[in-house]
Amino acid sequence: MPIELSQFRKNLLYAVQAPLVNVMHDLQTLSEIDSLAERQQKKYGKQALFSFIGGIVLFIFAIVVSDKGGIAIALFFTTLALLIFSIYALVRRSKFKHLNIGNYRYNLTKQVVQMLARDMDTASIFDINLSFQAIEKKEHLISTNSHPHKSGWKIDSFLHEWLIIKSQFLDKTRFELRLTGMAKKQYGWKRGSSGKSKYKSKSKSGGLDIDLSLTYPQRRYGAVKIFKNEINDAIKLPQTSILRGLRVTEKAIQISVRLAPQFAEDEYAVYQTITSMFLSGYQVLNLAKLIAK
Amino acid sequence: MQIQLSWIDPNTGNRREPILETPVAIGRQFSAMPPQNNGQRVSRIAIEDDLIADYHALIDWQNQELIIISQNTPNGIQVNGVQLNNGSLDNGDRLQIGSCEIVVNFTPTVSSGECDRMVGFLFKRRCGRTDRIDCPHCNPTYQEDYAYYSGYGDYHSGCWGSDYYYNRDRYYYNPETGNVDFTEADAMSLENEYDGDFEQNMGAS
Ligand SMILES: [Zn+2]
Repeated sequence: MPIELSQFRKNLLYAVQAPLVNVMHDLQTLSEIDSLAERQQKKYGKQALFSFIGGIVLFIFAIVVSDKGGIAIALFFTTLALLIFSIYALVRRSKFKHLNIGNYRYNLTKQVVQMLARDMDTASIFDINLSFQAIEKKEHLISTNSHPHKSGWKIDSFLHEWLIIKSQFLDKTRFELRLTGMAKKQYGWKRGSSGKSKYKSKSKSGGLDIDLSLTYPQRRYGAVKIFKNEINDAIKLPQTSILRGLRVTEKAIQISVRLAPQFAEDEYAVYQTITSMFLSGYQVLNLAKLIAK
Repeated sequence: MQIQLSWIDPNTGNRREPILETPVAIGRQFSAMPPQNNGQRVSRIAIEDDLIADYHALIDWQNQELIIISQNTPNGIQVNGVQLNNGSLDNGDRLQIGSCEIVVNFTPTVSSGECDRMVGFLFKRRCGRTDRIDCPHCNPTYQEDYAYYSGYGDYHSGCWGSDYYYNRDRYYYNPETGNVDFTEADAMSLENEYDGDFEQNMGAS
C-alpha cells in the first residue's frame, strides 16, 4: 500500500501488511517525505526571516524619509506586505515542521526489517505499525501524579508503543517485536526571585522498552522445556540494556528488555539490543532443536 | 536447494556422484516415480536392484531440514544403520536402500561452483545457488553479523548449554506427549555409572 500523504499528515502513522520489497519501498518514501519537509522547512524559514528583516529595514527607512509623504506611505505599505508575507512563510513552515519526522524511527525500522528478512520467505508478509507521533502526547498519557518534592507540581507519565513488527520466519516461528517509548513531564508554578509566579514544565525520556515474543512450532523446538530454568544465562545483551522479564511457555519465549533514557533514541544501541534479543532467543531454540532430533 | 548423492552402482561397480536439485526420488523404475511433487520438478534416480522398490523413497527440504520419506516399501530405509520410515538427514549421513549405500552431502564438491556462502541469520544455512553472480542473499561478512553475540551457535564446553549439547543424542523429545526423556539404553548406562560411583564411595569410606 503506497503512503497516502494527506492521511499520513493527519496521524503520522505507517501501518501496513506487505512483503519486504513493499515495506522497503514505503520506508524509502517516508525518508523522502521527511527530507522534503526538512528542505521546505528551511526554505520557508529563510523566506520568513529575510522578509521580516527587509520589512524592519524598510520601516526604519520609512521613518527616516517620513517628511517625504508619498514615498514614506509607499514604504510603509511595502513593509506591511513584507511582514504579512513573513507570517505566511512561517505558517507554511510550521506545516512542514509537522512532517519533519524523526529519522531515527524509519532508519531503525529499515535496519531491523532487513535483518529479519534474511530468515524469512521473500513472499512472507510483514505486519508493521510505525508511528511518528511524539511520545509526549495527550493520547499516550497513562497517569498523572503529584510531585514528591515540589508542592503543587504534577508529573505526567507517557507510554507510546511506536513500533510493532510481526511476521513469521522460515522455521514457522512467529515473532512479535514491540518498542515502547516512555517519557515523564513535570510541571507547575514556580515563584521567581522577583516574587512573580511563573508556569514551568520540564520533560525527560523514561527509556525504551523492547518486547520480543517468539512463538515456536512445538514439534521442532518442544525440547526447550528441559532447560527452562537455565535460559537466563543464554540471554546476552549489550551494556546499554537490562533484562526485565523472561518467560518460557510450552509455545513461546518472551524477552523484555529496557534501554536507559540516554540510549532510547540511539539508533545503533537500539538495533544492537534488538539483534541480541533475537540471537539470544535462537541460541536457545537451536539447541532445543538439536536435542529434539 | 541442491544435494549430492554418491553410491556405487550395484550393476556396473562404478561410483556415481550426481548433484541433484531437490526433491529427489529414488526407486528402481524411472517411470514409477512422480515427475512432480508439490509443483516442484522431481529429480529421479533409478537404481537397478532387486531389493529396491519401483518407487522407494523421496528426499526433500522441509523447514530448512532435509528429510527422507519411505514410500511404504516393505524393506524400508536405514539411516546410519537405523531402520526407519521417515527421518531427517544430516550432511554426510549414510542411507541404506536395498543393497546400495548412498552418502548424502549438502555441499557438493567445490568444482560444481555452488555458492557455499552462508545466508540466514538466526538459523545458519548455505546459499546453495549454482550461480554466484549477483547472489542476492549471500553475505560475505557473515561472521561480523554475530559481533553482538559472540559465540552464537556455539554450545561447546564453557558455552551456555554445553551439557545438553554433549548429551544431545541421549535426549528424546516425544512430540505426542511433549516430554523430553533420556533414551532407555542411555538412562540405564547412566544408572550403572551412578551405582558404580556410589559403590566406590562406599568402599572408600
Ligand atoms: Zn550465493
